[in-house]
Amino acid sequence: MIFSLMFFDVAFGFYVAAAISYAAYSLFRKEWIGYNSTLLFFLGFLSNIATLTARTVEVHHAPFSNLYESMIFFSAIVALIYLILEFRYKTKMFGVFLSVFLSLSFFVTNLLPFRMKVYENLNPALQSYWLEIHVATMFVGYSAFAISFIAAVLYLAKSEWHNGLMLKYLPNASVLDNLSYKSIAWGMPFLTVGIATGAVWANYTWGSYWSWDPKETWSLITWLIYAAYLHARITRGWKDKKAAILAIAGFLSMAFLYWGVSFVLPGLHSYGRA
Amino acid sequence: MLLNIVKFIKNLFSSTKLGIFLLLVIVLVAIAGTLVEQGKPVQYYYDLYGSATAGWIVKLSIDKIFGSLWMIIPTSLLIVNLIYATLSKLPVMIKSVALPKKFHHNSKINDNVLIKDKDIAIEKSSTVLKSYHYKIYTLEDGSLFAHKGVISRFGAVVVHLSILIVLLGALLGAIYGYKNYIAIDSGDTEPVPEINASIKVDRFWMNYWPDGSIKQYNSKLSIIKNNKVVHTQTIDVNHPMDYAGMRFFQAGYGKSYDKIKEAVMVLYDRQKKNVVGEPVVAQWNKWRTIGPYDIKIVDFVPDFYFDAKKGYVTSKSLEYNNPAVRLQVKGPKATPPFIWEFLKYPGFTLKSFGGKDAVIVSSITPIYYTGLQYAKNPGANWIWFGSVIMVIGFIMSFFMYYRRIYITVDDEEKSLLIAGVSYKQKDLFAKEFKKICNTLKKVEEK
Repeated sequence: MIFSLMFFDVAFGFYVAAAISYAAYSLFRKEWIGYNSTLLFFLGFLSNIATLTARTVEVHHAPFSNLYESMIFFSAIVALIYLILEFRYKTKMFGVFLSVFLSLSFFVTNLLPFRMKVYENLNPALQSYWLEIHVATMFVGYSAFAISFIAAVLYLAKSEWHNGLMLKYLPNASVLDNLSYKSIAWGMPFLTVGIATGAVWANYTWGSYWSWDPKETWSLITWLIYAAYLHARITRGWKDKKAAILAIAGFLSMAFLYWGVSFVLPGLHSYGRA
Repeated sequence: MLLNIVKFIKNLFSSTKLGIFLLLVIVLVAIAGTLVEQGKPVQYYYDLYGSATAGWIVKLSIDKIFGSLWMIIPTSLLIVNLIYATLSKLPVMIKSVALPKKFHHNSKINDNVLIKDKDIAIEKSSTVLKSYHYKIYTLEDGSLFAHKGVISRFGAVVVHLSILIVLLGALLGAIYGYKNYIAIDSGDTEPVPEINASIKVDRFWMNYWPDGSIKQYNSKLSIIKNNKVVHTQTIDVNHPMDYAGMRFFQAGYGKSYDKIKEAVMVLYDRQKKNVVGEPVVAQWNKWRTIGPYDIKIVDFVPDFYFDAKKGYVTSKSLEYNNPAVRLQVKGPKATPPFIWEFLKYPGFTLKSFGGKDAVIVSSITPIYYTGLQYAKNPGANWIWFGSVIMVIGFIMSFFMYYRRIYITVDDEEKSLLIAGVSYKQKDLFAKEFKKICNTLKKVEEK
């Protein structure tokens, strides 16, 4: 247990350092600060992967059987997507938002009860290779939606205040809108596969593929909101701000699906907390 | 007037805005369905919300919202909207990938390439476009037309179709699906009329993790037809059994509430106040000798209760709160042939057999029952099929895109005019277009 907990702290530290460095880069626009920021973020990502690897070795199963493990997994995918985006779009301007987002997600993960951080035995229903398929696809979807959320918020900020504050350093509004759309285009098929594999698994374990359990229902709600987003984007008058608002609503629904349902609402998934 | 109404309805149902509106209505209904717990007894809502609110919840079927008109009406409207909108947009889609008559002058992306010979230039461009996996046609005006990603234009149609397939599966499940539950004591056989056979639970057992928490529940089942075992299989939580179109799941377990496996008992001397001889293990419903007596366990209740009015023993609950076994006794001077012995109160009803003797039951070994859920979902395969189609549809519309390229020779026959069009992924197409033009230039320079 000791190594994964240690790497966790290291990753947390690097993400916080990266957030500060990216903020400094946004202010001073010095090349070497930008280089440092990416390096710190990358080290954060590597420690994040190390945390997952250590955890897998320690608990002998894929590292996303509870909320604590899945949050670390989720952060790693978000970090990976960001690194790809920074490389592709050649801009470090999302860096500050992403590293703040990841620092926050590590912070809340650290607040989780200790029993989740130590080894938890898998209960009988979770001992299935469907756990890996279902949760992994779900989390790729979650991560893509997290990116689209950040892009949509920045898009709204940019189209509202144009170049005020520090917004002038951001890519222009249409790039942000496109980024938000593309993330959702990635997230949607993964969410669909995630829901479908969950249904296959439930059908195989409980004998019913859909029982309107809160987690299932909220996954459908999230899916429906993103479906509305995709249609809004091709509809006149809904294209810009309203679509961005739907992208934000979709993420909030996803966040509730991920965290809210486990703690607030009862149901089949409450044991899994995944 | 009437025509206007028809037109209005047609426009309404083919509109994307109606679709978005209905999607959001279903979202709100579903949210309500998670905030109010579903399918509880009426009393639950009265206790939680008070009589006024609870009355409305029940009257408006908020407690069964997912099967109510709240869900059925917007979903049905959405299906109509989906079919109508898809069909009305299909001709436009087909037209958008149809071959044009001539070179397209007002495309947004254009380029020129200087050429030496017009016929060779066209031929060379054709080869270049082929290397980019374009499909190439010669138009009526002699210009070249190429396009790629035709099926991506139908991604949305495929997704919509897949949604209909999934909903069809759900409908089949709702109409022809079946679900039931049976609890069978380990070792017992129970008839299951739905499969026209009986199920015998040969054994139910649990596996444990090293720390003592439960790792797995297992049941070894035999299907018995005409007194013959026709199928034997061990199931656990993630491995159900399929038989005669029905799937059997390990869904629960518990201690049997009318039977035990065995009990340990010992003879007690009331006068000397000590036990006599060694404890013996008595099997359920089998005679066993203890000292000068023969005893047999004939009955069991987990939570003993004597109904004084009716004069019989029953169980207050299914929990092992006050387990008691009933013994039949034969032997010298055994006065009462039947006595109840309490596990928790060994001194409570020390009935005397021969004046000084008594039997103390010191422990019991329960029999476990296994809870089997069995179900058939004739719609399930449609749902899996629909899901696969849906993902294919998403890939078609998100990760492929349709683009067309026109190439013609200008009037002076000195250069090629190249024009490109794409409806989606314009940034990607701009890059590809530039690459193609550069290749063309290189080829022409040679």
